[in-house]
Amino acid sequence: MLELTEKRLMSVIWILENKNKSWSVYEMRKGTAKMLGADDMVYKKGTRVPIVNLSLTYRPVLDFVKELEKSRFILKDERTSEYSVARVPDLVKLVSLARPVTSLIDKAIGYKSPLDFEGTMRLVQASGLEYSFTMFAGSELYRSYVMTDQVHAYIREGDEKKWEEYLLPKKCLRAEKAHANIFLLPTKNEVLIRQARKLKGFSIAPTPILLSDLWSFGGLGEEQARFLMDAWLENRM
Amino acid sequence: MERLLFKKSNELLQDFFKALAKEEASHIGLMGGWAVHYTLKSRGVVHLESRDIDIFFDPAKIKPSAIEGKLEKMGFHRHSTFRWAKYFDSDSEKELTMEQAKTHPIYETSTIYFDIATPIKIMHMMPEPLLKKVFGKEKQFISISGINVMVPNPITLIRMKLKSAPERNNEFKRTKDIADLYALLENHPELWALKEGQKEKPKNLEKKPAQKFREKLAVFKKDGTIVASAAMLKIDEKKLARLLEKI
Repeated sequence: MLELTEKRLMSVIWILENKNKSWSVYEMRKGTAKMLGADDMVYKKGTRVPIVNLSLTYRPVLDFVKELEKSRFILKDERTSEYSVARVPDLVKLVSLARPVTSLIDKAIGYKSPLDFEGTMRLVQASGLEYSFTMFAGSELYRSYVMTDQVHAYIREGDEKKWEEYLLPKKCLRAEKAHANIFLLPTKNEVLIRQARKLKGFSIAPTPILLSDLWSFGGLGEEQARFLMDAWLENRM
Repeated sequence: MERLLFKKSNELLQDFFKALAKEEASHIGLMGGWAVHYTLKSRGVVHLESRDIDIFFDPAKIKPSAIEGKLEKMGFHRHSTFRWAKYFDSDSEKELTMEQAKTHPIYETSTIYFDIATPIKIMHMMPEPLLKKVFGKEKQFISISGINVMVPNPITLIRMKLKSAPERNNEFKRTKDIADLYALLENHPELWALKEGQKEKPKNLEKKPAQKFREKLAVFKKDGTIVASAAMLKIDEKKLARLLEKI
């Protein structure tokens, strides 16, 4: 199976976010580096030919692209040498296997909010801190489907104390998994926060991550993922 | 297990049509994957076989109970609305009774489905309005192991696949529909309008289904359907997509 390092994962997210277009390897490197917040273009010595930040060097990226092509996740147009994604659902499933949300939830910081589902989401939104909703909190904004009070949100690793200082005075108690209805998922991965999508005033994790999380959750999560996948493929999201 | 399914399915469809009376043969026909397979075979083209058997009949000439009686005699069991089934042990290839099938491990059970369609909606049958044209003029007779079997003509088979492919929720069936559609279009040059000797556009396809298919093709190119169909047909994905884009 294709191994997904963090950088490769970001490349996959970029590819999926650009599912409607074809792209060159250069474009993908540049786009992924930008997503990671890497430096902008630098130029080849003595030329005006731009190259991407060396944190995503050409060889490993090309090797990864070739691996994706070999597995037919992406296809190359021989006329233009550009690639396009061909198996979006399977790529999302690959992401879900590489980072199953259940293992993230096991490490989540749990709180019990006294509010209902919508109230809890508004509470998180009003924090002024950076976050992105995933799982049912993220997906219910697209389609109301699941009866739940559980709110899952990615937060920046290092912001845990700030969240504690915000939530405790709001009558939210620290809670174990079985009793929590707020699950804060600390992440080092800037993309999950930076590339969050704004919908109805709420921040939602990038769609590939949202779908991957729902899928790996299974049950109603998988059902919601299937529905949203169709809508996303048809550009209705 | 796959080989067993194809072999048994082929045998059963031949048994069904062999047993038809002469006067029934122009009122009962074959459609679906096997119709595509044998239509292409009649042109010398080797195409994918099918797991399920799909037939159609004219309810104005044949009673539904007559069809059901034939299937019961062949050992099929009513499965759901328009579907009948026969069960086999995957290893021994022995046929299972209904009672045996209920307790037989699912991973050791091979099932062959027999679906029945009619041009109009009647109870326990799958309605397919395109069949009205088949009972008009849009049919042909092909020989299957010496048996003369009525099938929709190629343009009607294409129309059926054009209609069904965008609606399929089952991934395998969707992939197979696309593969069948490609094979029919690729191997019937007479159905194309040509430009400088090259296939430009298929003729005589209704605008609305063609438009719906084109919209769905954009999704099929991303969701793995084109990749899977190309793998099924053992052809390049771009070749497959380029032909379908001409619809």
